[in-house]
Amino acid sequence: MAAAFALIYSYWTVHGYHTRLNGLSPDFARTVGLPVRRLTLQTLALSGAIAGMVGAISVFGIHHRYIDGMLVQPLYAWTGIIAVLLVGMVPWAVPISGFFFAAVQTGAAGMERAAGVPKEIALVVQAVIILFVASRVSGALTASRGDGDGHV
Amino acid sequence: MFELIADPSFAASIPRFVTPILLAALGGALCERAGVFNIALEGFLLVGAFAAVLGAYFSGTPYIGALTAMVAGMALGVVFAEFNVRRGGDSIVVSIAINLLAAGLTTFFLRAIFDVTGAFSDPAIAGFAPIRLPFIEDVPLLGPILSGQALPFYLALLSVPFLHVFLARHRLGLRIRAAGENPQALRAGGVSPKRVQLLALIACGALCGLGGAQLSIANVNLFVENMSAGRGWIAVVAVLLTRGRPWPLFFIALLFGAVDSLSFRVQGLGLAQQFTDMMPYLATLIVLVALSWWRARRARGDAS
Repeated sequence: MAAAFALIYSYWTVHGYHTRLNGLSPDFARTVGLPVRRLTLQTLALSGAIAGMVGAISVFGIHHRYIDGMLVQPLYAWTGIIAVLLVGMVPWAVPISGFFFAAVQTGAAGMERAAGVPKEIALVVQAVIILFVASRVSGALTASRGDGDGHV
Repeated sequence: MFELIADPSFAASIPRFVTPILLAALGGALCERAGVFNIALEGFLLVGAFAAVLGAYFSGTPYIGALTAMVAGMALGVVFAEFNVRRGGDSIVVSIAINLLAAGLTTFFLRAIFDVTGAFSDPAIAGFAPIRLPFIEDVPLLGPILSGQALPFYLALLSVPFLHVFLARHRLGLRIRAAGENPQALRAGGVSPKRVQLLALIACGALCGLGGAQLSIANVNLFVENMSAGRGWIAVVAVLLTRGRPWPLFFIALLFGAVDSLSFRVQGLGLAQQFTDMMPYLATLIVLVALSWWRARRARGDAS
């Protein structure tokens, strides 16, 4: 639902359009008269709100209590970052990528219970997959960054 | 509370905290000057720390431990270069992947090789003995700080002027700077920027490996999961703040190392442990904001 919201917001509302414009070319946005700083702050606030929902879901839906470190230990934030970067920030692909990473981590926990393999192997698997996939999607990601000439 | 800072043993403990940050930051500086946005210093440090324990445990001497740490760091640097420089993977993605890889591999091998979870401590791990410098240790204030430290600290100290001169005068150092500032000029001169970036990453790996060795076989004689504990990130901030220049880096690393050491001492005051954990990062944030504000003011001053 959050992904759908992000999609609708980004592409079908005025504010989302302004924000995307700001992201693609801040200079153009400023020239056209968009309040760049305010847009940035509002976007940060919005993303913070959505991220905060993770905590709410964890407490209300899963654990029914607050456990110290419950959000940091499974590396939700880092996994989220790479899940998004890996699919080039295309909104509809993010849930798929997120699901994939969640599946790998859950599977690793299961593997630890069943076969005694340390669950950190999931991190290794994820990292290797990310490294290889990142090399091939880089064309789309770096198209608007860098001078294509040694700078990465 | 002032006694905490005035206590000479506080000053003597600062180098232990400064060394990993400084070494990692120097490595990161090389990458930064070469045009590689390397924020995987945390992973590099962690791998170095683990490899150091591996080497020291199985060989019985810390020097082999330092060597294995540097080799492991260099190997990780090659991996980074392969996916970032050669295959064009986005720097941030590759860096985060390397951090995850380091965390996963070290914890995994901790269990697989030593058959323990959480921490590995064994009397067979050979740590660095303190090196006493006979004349320097008699110097009134700086004596206890400069003498009696482990080898990586002295190597780190020497690395600062060395890197400064290296980047300013040595052919490879100049090529590294060219790769970062103007790769087309470098290519026009017949040198491949990618190759130079690979070398920078390898050097970064070696430096970070040594920093990791300081963490695991100099300060203590064990390995804990996630031992680097954020020091790699502090080093990243230091690199970005100083834009990879060795001498400013040294002073920033000194500051952050001092705050890091202070945060441990302040624990005795009765503050919640979470507050003291926050301290190095708070200091980092303050310096970051202050410097950005100061730079923005300078820029505005120049424009008007």
